[in-house]
Amino acid sequence: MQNQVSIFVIWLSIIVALVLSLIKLPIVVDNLVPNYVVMVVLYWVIVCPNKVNVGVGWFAGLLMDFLFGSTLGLHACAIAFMVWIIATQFKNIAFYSLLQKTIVVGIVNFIGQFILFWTEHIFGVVTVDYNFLWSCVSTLVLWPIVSGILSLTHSFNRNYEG
Amino acid sequence: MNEKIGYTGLTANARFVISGILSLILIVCDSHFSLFKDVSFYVESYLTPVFYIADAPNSLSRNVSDRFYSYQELLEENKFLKNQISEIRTELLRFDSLVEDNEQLRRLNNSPIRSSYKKIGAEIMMVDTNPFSLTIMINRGEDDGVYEGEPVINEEGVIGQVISVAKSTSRVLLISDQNHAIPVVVMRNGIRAIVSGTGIINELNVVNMPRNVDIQVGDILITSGLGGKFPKGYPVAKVTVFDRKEGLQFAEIKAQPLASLDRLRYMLLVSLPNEALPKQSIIKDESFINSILPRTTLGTNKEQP
Repeated sequence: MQNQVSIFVIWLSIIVALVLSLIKLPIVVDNLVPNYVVMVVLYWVIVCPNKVNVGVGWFAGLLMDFLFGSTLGLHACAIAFMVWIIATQFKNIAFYSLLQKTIVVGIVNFIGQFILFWTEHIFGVVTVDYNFLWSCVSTLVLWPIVSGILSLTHSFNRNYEG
Repeated sequence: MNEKIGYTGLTANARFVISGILSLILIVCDSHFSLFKDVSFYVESYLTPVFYIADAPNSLSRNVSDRFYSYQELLEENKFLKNQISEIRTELLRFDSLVEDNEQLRRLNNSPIRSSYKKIGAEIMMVDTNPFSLTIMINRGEDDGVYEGEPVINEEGVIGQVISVAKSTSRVLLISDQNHAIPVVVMRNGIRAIVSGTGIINELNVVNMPRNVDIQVGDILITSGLGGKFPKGYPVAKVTVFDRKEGLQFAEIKAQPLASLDRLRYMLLVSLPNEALPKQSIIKDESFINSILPRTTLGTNKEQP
């Protein structure tokens, strides 16, 4: 049943998310930009864990590192970590209600951003910028919308959405 | 629930361990040994269309707003620019004779004559970069002769230096990044200093200056050319805070970059002639300074030797 999502759709959505996260917005809203890649990858982990797992998350993060020009492996490590938490600690997350899913995704993203910050801090000098907390908030708020849009690409799990 | 999922039949735990080890290796190799310079050159070159797509909304809105200039506004701007050009030309008349004077004096002194540098213009690409460092992306790359470490300036002052080059884009580290430092002299009295970034976009630190140093608020700091990375004589920053704190070894001196780093659009890449960079001596110099100042390097990015 779950195998109906084609790998093409999954990667297309990840690439769209990568391009979206590259777009620079005016400085007022720039801090509020959610982490699109994390939202999309976590959505696919919840919907079809047999196709999107730690490896796909890691590779998406690696692409993000290349695009952002950050140290290679940083985002890869952070996204792989987030996917791993979802895949091992929340095995039944597909059956949760949308609100519960949103909270779990928001918290996992928050922890992931901290991991990112600290790995960057260990391996180099970083600028402390607490504005990334705003992006965590907007990721939490916008995740239901993104998951609604992504659920239009396939039709099998409507009844899970609550 | 069957844990063995996907194509490889590994559990999520095993995958996480593998990817964690892989990313640790990547991070260490990239940040400490910079082994992936070539790889990221090719990958970024292939990803160039992505950057242009991401830049498209902003460049489109710029184009649209350019379209809506009225004839009157254009006329006024044209008049203003013509006035400005004639003013600058008159200044240049004096400058030319000064250059001539200077060359003659230098010949008398047997000092080498400074030649002017080749410059190419570049435009910023509105692309989000690493949130933890102050870098920007510009639309010039290896095809235009950009090299790593090339100084970037605009008409207001020094902006930063190129840290990575791809085929037709490159990334510039701004002078206010924490990993950046630049050797300067105070224009008023020629005191040498090192200005390092703080991570705040419009704030710089003048580090390790004794408390009785003759620096005042309002002093202009210009590049000294000692690091070999930046040409001599370009304005960098203006001193905004000078504080002799009791009980501290050094004075606390803050400066503001003269170029408005948060509103950049056009900039110039200054390519230094190769003979102007006596490489060996500089590297020795830098390792010496690195040993004194663990956090800053002389006009270079920390990852470079």
